[in-house]
Amino acid sequence: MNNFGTMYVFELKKILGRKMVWITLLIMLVLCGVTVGGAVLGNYVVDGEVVDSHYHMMQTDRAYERALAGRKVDQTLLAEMSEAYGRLPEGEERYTLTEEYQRYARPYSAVLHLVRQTMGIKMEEAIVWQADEDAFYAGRLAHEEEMWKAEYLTEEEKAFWRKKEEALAKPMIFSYDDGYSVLASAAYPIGLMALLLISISLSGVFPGEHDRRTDQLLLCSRLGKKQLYRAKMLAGISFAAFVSLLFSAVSIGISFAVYGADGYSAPAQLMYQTYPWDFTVGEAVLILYGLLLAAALLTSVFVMMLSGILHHALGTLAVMSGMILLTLFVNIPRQYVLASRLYGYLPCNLLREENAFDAGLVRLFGTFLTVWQATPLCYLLLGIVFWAAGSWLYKRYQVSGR
Amino acid sequence: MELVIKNLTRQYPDRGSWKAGKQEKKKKAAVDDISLRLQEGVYGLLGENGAGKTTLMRMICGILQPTEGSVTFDGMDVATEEYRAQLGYLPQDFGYYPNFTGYSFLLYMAALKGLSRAQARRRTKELLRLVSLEDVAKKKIKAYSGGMKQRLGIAQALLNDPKLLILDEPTAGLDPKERVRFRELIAGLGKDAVVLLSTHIVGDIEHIADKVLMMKKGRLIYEGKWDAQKGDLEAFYLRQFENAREESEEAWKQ
Repeated sequence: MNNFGTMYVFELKKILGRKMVWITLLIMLVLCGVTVGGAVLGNYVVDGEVVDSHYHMMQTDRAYERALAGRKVDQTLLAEMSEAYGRLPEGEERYTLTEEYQRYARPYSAVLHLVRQTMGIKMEEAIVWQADEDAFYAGRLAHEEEMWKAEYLTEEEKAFWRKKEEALAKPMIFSYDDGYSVLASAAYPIGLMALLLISISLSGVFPGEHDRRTDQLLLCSRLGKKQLYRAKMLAGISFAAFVSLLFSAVSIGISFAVYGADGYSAPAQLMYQTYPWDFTVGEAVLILYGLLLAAALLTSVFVMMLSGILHHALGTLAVMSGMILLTLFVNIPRQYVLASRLYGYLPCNLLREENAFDAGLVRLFGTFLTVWQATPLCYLLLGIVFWAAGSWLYKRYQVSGR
Repeated sequence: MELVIKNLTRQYPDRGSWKAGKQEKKKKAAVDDISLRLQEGVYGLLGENGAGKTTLMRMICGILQPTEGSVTFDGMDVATEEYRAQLGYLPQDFGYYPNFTGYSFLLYMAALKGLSRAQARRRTKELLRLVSLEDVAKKKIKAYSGGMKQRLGIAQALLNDPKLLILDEPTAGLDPKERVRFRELIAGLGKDAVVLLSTHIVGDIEHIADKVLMMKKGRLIYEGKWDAQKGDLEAFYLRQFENAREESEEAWKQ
């Protein structure tokens, strides 16, 4: 009799039956909400005086950006922006507090930000920049070239991206996309929270049986060696998928509720100015949250395999927490090309936007794959290896020494 | 129906010798070259603490790999699924899931033993009745008393109508009345299954075991039927125990 379904349900019940899992999940969900919507809480204070609430500021800026949505980022728009910023009084340190900024420049602040990020220039330079559509798009390519050099891209990789840059539609269409850009920058902290919750919840899947002394009952039962391993692993993987989808859904819900959902079809270069892939802002966010799912799945398999090696839930959790902390504080310089690129593929590093949309490419069967294209394949292979290693260890597990 | 144990040995590194810094890592045999053939019936396994009873039982259950030797049941190797399908095991330190109810625990174990849903539900109800846990079936196991947990342990071992039943201290924690009831139950099971039970309570063995197996320092020192002509089993057992203690005291002095 194949009882895989029943065993799977019981294994899920074991994971979800722990109070710690629910407590951590609730805390993490609150943190998710704060990460995504926290920017609109509180007030903007200057010299101890409240100037405005962050929420009202966001509403004002959103209204200005929505007014510009659908317009081409061309000579006309850039000139309007230059003209508006030209009205700022000279030598004013806090120009955002001036009436001229509020009345003339603020409606174009998103365009100024775009110019600054696209051309890689400083704020002061952007304010006095003379609008020139050709210089703007040429500046983007120049900025990209600088980035590629700093990232030690090969000539082949550079040629690949130059072609991509050439193929991009110019002028691009401006859009309000805060709902998506907030989601994109929140993907990394949300991902870390998800990975931590997965580590906490799954580190005891195998060692817990040893601690409860139920391992001896399971291993001598008919289906306790092969099918049970699969049921446990699948339950753990399902839990990880549930966590990542729940976190994604909560984040998307909060972001759209606070900032709005407009901007899905806007060009991704509004958000990632020096990443010349032809996709939209919405697609970029979907890719990031797809990578969150992939990272969660791989982490779940790895955690369960590791717990099979260490036979210790706390030990497993310590290793996972150590890995997450390490990636928070340690960065490998780009000059160590292979090491730094591989480091970027770690699940706890991948969700940084600069890693997910890194210009480094992987050559496979004569074609180039981007990081986000190579990741699912790479994680699938690693997942299979971890699954097989865990299975090998589980079959050799001995009940002794009590 | 026959359980065949051939030259079964399980060695562990002797930690004492390792700490003493000896060049060669010595090994201590927890079970030392045991060979047995067991047919239907109840076999009582006696031996002091550390004699190797639990190690022997774990190897018979396939959850501990022997250093040497083999275990087969009706020709099926201990490592196979077919072997485990015939097996029922109650470990000495019976583990459970505190947040499961008695009923769901048995359903889970039934699934692991390969029973269909309908069979699992039927057997679970039968066994809960048999071990008098019907009234508390829907309560969480963490609320059970020690005796109730032990009865649940016995129930899970019987879920698949095992032909090979290994019971490590099955009557521990049971009150005298329950113990007598379970002795009778085990005696009944021995009619068409190989039942191997270990206990410190010699009375249990005298009442239900068809054959007595006695272990000392990993070796089998007695195997056979015990009848009144041979004298008092408890006295014989205690003599072995005393001898072992004297030997260990002498070794300590040396």
